[in-house]
Amino acid sequence: MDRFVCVRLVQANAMDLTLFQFDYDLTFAAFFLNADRTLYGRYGSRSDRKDATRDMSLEGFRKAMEAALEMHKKYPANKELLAGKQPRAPRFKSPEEYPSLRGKYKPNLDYDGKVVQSCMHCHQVRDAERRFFRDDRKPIPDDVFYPWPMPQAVGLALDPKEKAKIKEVTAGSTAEKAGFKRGDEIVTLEGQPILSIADVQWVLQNADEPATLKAEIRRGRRNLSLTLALDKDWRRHTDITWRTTTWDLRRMGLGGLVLEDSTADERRNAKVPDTELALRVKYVGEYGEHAVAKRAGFKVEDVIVSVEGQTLRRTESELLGYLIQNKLPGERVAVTVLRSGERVNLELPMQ
Amino acid sequence: MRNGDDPAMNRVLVVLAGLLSLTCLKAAEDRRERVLNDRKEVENIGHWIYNDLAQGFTEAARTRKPMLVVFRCIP
Repeated sequence: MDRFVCVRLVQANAMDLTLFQFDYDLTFAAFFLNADRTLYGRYGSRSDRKDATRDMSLEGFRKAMEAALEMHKKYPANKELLAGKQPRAPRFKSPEEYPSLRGKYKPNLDYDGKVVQSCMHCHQVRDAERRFFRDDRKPIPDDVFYPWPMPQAVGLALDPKEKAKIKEVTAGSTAEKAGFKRGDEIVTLEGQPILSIADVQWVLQNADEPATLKAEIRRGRRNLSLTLALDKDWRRHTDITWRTTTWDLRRMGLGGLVLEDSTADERRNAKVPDTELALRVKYVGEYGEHAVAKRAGFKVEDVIVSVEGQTLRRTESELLGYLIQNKLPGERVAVTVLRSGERVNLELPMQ
Repeated sequence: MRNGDDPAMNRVLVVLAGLLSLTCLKAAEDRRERVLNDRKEVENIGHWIYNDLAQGFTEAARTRKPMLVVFRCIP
């Protein structure tokens, strides 16, 4: 314990965005750093709505801490090696500077008054960043729309009990084509020493589209160099449905609907082939801007089978991406749903 | 001694496990109570500088130790 100075932060109010850049949908995120603000690494990853700790473990956190202590011992001789891990220049230096948050929060929590209402949540930073573009009627950049890709986006599943050890490589994926194998340990990525899954995500978050990423991996007693070739749309394969901030995307692009891909049985019963769109309406928003789809006539259990005449199979994440990145607030999108076996044509307003 | 057997490191992990489990233990409390109690409980645990990053930097510079900064929402 006494080898670190431990700081617990509970608010996003006045967060220093020039330093703390992480996946704002997390409920637990850790940084290891020097007193001169040099970052050694990050910890904290998530890919599931209900299970916030599926991608984390105390064992993995312990190993990341140990690696951070080693980096600290070697500092500042290793400063150049850490250059790629340092934060990028943010759009705004604190959340309160985003237009949608301006004037709404004070820098400190109001412990003597309405303390709960005075607290800005981390996810509000991501919401504000997306609204910065949407409210200006501009497309939301892919790195903001699909933030902090998990390694699964390139075909890698990492063991949460290790720093960055591969427990599975998806067949046919970018990672498999690059030569990654189960059991490999990612030592560096783009020259950055990796001490956690979050560190891998940091590299992916800052990668271009397309991009070529250099990895040094440890396989048994050997170190090998591998190259990941990411295509132009690589981020769009990521699932964003688990994220708290997707709630606001559903307002923008789906009028408050929550969708789920139909099961094989449901597809068979509805006579929809596996290659075609069949997104079942799981939930219809009830209030305000989240009730826009309800007011447009959508109902729970409707199955969306066509959007603007397109019937190619898409996930909810992919449909959200298509609608929000291609349609502006105020536009209306033609949607066909299956309802009790009948095709019903509706119009979905964009916000 | 391996780092994994280090009692100091283990204490950190126990504290972190405690931080993560506060949600379950406090499920019945109202949100305001939880926010106020969280501060008291973390400060009582000791070792943690609560919600004061500047103090953390000052302490890290003085002691030349690395910093561990944890963002953890109060559930």
